[in-house]
Amino acid sequence: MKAVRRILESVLLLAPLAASPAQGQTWYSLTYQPSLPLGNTQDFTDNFGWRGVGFDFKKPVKENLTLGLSFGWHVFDQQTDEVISAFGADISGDQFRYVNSWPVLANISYFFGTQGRPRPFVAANVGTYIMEHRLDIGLYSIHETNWHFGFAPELGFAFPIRPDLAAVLNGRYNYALSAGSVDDQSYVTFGLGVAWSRGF
Amino acid sequence: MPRYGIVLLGLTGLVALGTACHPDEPTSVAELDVVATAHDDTVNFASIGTYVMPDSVVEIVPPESVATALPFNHAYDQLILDGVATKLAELGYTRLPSFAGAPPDVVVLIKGVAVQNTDVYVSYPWWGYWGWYGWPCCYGPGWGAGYPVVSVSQYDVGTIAIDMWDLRRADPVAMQIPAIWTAALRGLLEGSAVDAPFRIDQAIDRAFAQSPYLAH
Repeated sequence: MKAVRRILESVLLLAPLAASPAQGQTWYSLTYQPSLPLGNTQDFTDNFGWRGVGFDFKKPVKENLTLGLSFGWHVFDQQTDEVISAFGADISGDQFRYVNSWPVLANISYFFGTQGRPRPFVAANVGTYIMEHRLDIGLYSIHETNWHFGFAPELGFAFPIRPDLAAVLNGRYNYALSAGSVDDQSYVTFGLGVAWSRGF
Repeated sequence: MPRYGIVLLGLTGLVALGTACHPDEPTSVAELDVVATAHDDTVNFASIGTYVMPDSVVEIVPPESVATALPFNHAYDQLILDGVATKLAELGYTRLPSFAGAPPDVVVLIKGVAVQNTDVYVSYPWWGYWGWYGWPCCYGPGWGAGYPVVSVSQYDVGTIAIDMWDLRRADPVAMQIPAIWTAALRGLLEGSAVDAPFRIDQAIDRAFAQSPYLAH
């Protein structure tokens, strides 16, 4: 956790030091984020995650370059009756498995193109993923919540709809390192939403 | 953020409501049924030819459940016995009618347990906590101490246990017969009586399906 806090602080503290030719510019975006589980996340919950939202804030620090924060909530679930082995026994029954992921990430983004035109952008996100893994079977529930350090490269497009408002499409590969007894987790989010993009 | 941003944040709240943390939770009692099996992996089950099984389900009360035990409903005994016998026959086991004559290789005993479980949840409302915290320093009469919110959940649970005992390895000195396979079929004693046969059949199917080593 200390490492995560240090990175977040570093990113935020660096912001005022950067040149800021774009005073007054801000970016708030709200996106619906369905997600595709990968790796260990997929092993636990195989279904495509249709439940997800994200909120992003960006502030320019140089021309075309922003620093920001990103928050999200992504839900994966799967119902299965496969047999699990635990406590020296084989156990079957309807299992209800859930992964809830709440990423809290700092990011740096670079926007291509010019203001008022469709603008592709790339971003690097780093921070923490608060992840809850839960398995319900019968009257029993096994759950664990951990703070995972993680990162997420991102590609996106902003299409101006009118001044200060843009449609946003983005894709983000989320990778969270292992934490507690939970192995590393990964998934891809596909974002579709709007951005209040003053000055972009 | 512009005004319409607030509107859209409200919409986000609606989306968030739709994105419940734990969607698709169980909707029927049958979805809460669980089957657990365990076996002695040093045993070659293919070498077992014959078994004896009593013609009734034995009601037992575990020592830890004396105070909460319920009468076991024997209405489904025959269904359970027939279901287990059918599965064992399919696997190649021959049922002997009794201990008379050649001794069987194993004994299969089916037991039934019914207990009432009670869970108590206690939580403290935050306003009561702070009211209590400030008194008597800064807050006078009228500030409540707050009381914990207590909720009680009570439910009846039934378990059918199928045990297989290896008579060939009975120890006459220690007077012990090793159990080589056990299956526990556990479920809520709730729901429609019409569903009970289906739930029992499904549980027996699961017990044998997850024990492939029993096959000859």
